[in-house]
Amino acid sequence: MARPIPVPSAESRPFWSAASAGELHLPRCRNCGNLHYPPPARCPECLTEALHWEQLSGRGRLWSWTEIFVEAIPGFEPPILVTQVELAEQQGLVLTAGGDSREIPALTLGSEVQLCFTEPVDGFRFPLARPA
Amino acid sequence: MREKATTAMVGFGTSEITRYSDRGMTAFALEAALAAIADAGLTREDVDGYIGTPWATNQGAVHAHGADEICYRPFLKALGIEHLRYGADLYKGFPTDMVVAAAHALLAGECRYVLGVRALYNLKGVDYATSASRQAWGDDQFVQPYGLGTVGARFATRIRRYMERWGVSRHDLFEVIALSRRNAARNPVAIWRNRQISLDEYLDAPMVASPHCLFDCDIPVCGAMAFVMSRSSDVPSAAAPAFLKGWSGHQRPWDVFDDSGVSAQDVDQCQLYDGFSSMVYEWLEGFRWCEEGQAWKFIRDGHADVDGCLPVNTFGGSLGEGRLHGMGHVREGYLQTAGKAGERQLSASDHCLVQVGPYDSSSFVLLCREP
Repeated sequence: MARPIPVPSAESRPFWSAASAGELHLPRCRNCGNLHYPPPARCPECLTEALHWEQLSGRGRLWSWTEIFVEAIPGFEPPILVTQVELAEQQGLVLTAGGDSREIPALTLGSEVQLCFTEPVDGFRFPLARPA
Repeated sequence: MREKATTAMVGFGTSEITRYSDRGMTAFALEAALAAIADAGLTREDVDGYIGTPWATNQGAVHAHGADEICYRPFLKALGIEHLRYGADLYKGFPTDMVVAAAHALLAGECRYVLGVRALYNLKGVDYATSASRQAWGDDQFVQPYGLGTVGARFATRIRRYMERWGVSRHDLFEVIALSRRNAARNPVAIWRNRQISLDEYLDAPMVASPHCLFDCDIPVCGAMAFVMSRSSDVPSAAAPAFLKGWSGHQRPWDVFDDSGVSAQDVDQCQLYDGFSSMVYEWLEGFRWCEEGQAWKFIRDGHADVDGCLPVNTFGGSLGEGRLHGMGHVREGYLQTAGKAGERQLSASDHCLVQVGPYDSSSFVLLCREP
């Protein structure tokens, strides 16, 4: 597997650092209290930079998914499963993840899933949705 | 309420459309541009404005002028134009954005005749859908490592959810492709003009990003299209005009009607962007021609056919014609409302809505027979 490797910035680095430790962290706005994904430079509601990173449960519901059958990522053997997971902590907060083609397509939308993380690839680990 | 629009499309040109070519991209763009200028009854010397959208949208693009993009400054040289008053390329814009930008330039009095050019090119030896980069910068770091940015995966997840929610099957999605092929049969430049498709052929086709298979994706081609626009008071005597009565962007879609005095119910026909088949559902519901979750039935039951209550993509759409990124939709809106659509001409063609772009970034123009 050869996923493109993220080039983090100050705004996104805490996400990837936590992921490499097998944890899901996202920024929460200190003003309006909303969680954001992907990590923004400022809260798009309040426009404040006062974002506080916190650990989430990784629990959620399957929002949608697709299986890519072309070699969209060189060296990444199709099918490539892409999942979208609505996180338990906030309605409408949908995170992109991978998954296993033997598991996810058997689920229905709204099924409970748990996010875990891939083996490290060049020091990066990526969230994966698995049946809860 | 905007001031009453006073611009018109006065000519259109289409190049050959082909899967691959030994001719370079500039040759296609020149073919379309010269055809558009001639169609308007003008000469090159009359053109004093230019608008383009060069961006090659595929992951494997090389982004080189004359290879897979046509950019405004070098293209002017190729056209031998030396006294332009106004020109611009819209970054990642849509053909509908080009029409609006041309109207802005005309209404501001910057120029008299604006040439708009959009070209696409299918390079041999370049992997169309593949991102070769080993690193993902900026927003891509939350997209590319998962493959979500390729082969319409984000639209595939969107239609997956729609289909699950409303009980839609791939048999139903097939009806969009079948409609495109029926209409493409009356379009002499359409890639699929001589190729109808059966349900079995559709269901047997290779998957690209489920539930989209190969035939749910418009096919990459080499081709170019161009239009000429003027103020309504400057319509050339030899030209057949279609008048631009309204426009809007995705954040205020209803402005296209509110500003024009034409209602959604007055629209006779629509040209709706279909880079992926499932996109056709979006604005049939967005403008309430169908209830939420019912657009697939509307198409299945024939209401979008040429003899239905709201004909859609009467030229075959991108799915039937080839991937010109929405420029074919603009052309059809022009031809129909200017009364130039030949054997495709619909009797009801006073008001045509043209929409180009994904659900969350579309833009809209309303082309009309009367000013």
